[in-house]
Amino acid sequence: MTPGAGLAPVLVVRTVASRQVVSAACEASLRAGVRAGQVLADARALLKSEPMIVEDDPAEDVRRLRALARWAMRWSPVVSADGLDGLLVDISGCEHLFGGELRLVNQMAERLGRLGLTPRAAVASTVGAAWAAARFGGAGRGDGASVRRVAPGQERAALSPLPVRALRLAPAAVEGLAEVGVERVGQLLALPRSALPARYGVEVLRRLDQALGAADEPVDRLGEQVRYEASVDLPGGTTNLEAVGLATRAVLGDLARQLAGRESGLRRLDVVYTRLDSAAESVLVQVSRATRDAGHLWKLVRPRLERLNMGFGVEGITARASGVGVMVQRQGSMSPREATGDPAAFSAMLDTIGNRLGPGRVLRAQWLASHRPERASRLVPALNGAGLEGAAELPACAAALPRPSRLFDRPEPVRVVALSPDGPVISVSGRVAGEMVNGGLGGGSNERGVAIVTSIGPERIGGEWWRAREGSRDYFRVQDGGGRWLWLYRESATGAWFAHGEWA
Amino acid sequence: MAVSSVIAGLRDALSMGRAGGERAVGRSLETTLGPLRCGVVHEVLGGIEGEGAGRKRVPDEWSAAVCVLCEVARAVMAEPDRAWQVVWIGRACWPAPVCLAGACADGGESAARAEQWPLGKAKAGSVRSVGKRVRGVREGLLGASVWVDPPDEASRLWCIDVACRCEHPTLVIADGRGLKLAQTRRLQLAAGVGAGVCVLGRPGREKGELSAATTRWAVSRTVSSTERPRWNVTLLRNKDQPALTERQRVWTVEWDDATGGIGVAADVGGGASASVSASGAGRLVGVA
Repeated sequence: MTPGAGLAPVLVVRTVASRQVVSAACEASLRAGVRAGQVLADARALLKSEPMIVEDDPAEDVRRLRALARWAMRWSPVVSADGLDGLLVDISGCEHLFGGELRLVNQMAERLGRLGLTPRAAVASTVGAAWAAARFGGAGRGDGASVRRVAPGQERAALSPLPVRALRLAPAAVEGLAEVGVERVGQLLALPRSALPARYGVEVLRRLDQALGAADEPVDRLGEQVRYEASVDLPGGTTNLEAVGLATRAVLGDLARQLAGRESGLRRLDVVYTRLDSAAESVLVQVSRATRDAGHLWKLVRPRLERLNMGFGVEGITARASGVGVMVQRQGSMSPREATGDPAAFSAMLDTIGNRLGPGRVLRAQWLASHRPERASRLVPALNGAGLEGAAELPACAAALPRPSRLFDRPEPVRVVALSPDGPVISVSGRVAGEMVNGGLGGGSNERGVAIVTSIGPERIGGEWWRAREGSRDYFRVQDGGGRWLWLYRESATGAWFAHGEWA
Repeated sequence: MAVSSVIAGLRDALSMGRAGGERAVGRSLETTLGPLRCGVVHEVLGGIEGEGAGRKRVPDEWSAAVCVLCEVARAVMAEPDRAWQVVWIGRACWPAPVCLAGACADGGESAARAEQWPLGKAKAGSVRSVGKRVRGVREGLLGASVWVDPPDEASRLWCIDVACRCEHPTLVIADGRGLKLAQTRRLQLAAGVGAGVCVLGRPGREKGELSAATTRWAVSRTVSSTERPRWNVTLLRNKDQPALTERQRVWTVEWDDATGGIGVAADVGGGASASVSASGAGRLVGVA
């Protein structure tokens, strides 16, 4: 991209092993000497003015490239994203609509230029030749954009002066050819064909043939994006709840029919109510299992609708489905469902509870790979279908050792007297989880705390070294005079004692 | 008309088919404490009650008798022919997730299987106990559990009601603190409609509260002479079989870490009315 005069130079930066490395730079920075792979500090030193730093986000780049590819469908229905920074458009049969292929390509380049990009475009009869001409075709216009045309039948002549890299070969093959002095495609073409596969692999021949038109290379189409949307207009607007409810049910039914037509189900439903003279209100419903049951969706939307503020009136309702996945129609059976139960009914029940209480209140447990008891598992919302993506199995050591049935949210400090720092616990005093530690009928108590009947331990759980300042803990299972079992630990760094859980 | 009688006959046949298969009434779960009937509400009183003085803790926060609740959950997973799901409603009755990882579909048998250690070989037929060696967390109780945290009393009651009515076999374990007679009656009706069973945990101080639950258990701590925590579990009321409660059945049970459930304590002498128990590892223990 070329920023206009007076704007700061732009650098795209990636963090690699705690250093900030430049992954791409604008024209002005490139002219100043900045290259990809340099450390940010060096790049800053080369530039006169303070650059604008942008974080590198490859996933976002891929998404935007796809969006650009969809936009490019105005010229041809067959467009695909090519690598990370290119588009491949098959214009066979479309060029007459735009007045010839050169005019089409010029128009493309001009429109992309208006978006702020500097495109290098080329049109040829084969994918390989077009790719090579676009990227390596030599200097174009002054601002970096260029348009080239390879006439049909002239691929050989057009490709000969280009470097071997232009044929999309693997780096190993390119290096191997460079070693024997073959750096241009023209030199490669001069070599005997039969010798190439043995030394550099079959790929070289295949790419050559694709570029010259001897082998076929189709262009993949970008997948169609189908949008599931249904809407209805209420001319004049209405604040009548029943009317809005009826209209919503009709819209949901329409959406369900669209989904049924493609054997799909949705995971998220967005119902947008456009209001007169106010901003639109939207109701978001999430389900734990793909569904297209209009009745179930209506039951989930209705409580929200009743709380909706209709302002001066609702004049339009639009329902959009997202998270759409394949959902095959299952034949219902009349015989009683004994063994397998009805998982759909269970998911429907979870949806009802989750949509009324909020997604953060219906959770599933996820097992994490950590020795620390408080970090070994966590609860994640169940409705977005995250499920159990943590560790699939308990680590064997954690499985073998006894753990309390209740773990406190925060370890509570207690006063403990022990025989030796690693030794058995003799007495504990204090209040744990709201109840005083109990001497019971037989246990004694004195000002130093109640006597402990049983003490089992220590079990050392080490700290995780990648978290700073975390020491190891020695855990003890301790029974007090009243039969209450507590799980105490002693921090090895400070010597302080805490109660972490109990057997309830 | 002939047609309407045919239709009426078909309707009868269909309705009988539905009632027989999907309702849970008539079935029962096998737990260490005996059979628990499905399709009804059971109550377990006990747990730890905070006195709530002078700390940041909410005044009436309490924890349920998680040991017995985990036992019911383990029993549910041990039923191999029905795919149960477990819903835990209310933070007071949530156990630590690690306890649930022990129970899987084969009822904890896998806990006693021999494991090959890298150093040294196990002789054929010898058993080295490694505690909870599960077949993968996903198939076990942890994978089948859903944790629900309702913000207030009204929504808690509503959640329990909705969960009990589910047509899929669901074990609903809930925080039943402060529920009145009318509310427990409503939950009984809901449980009768659904295909699962409901177990409510209540604080011990609510023993005097009227309730429509079918069975009532009280759990209290007792000193243990072994390495395992022990409790006394008393059956206070059994509406199915009133004769049983007259004998005031009391069990002394201890926590069995291997299976994540409870087993009757082995060395209890005289007084205990249970004569035979099976702990999860497949052993039968007789009590004198």
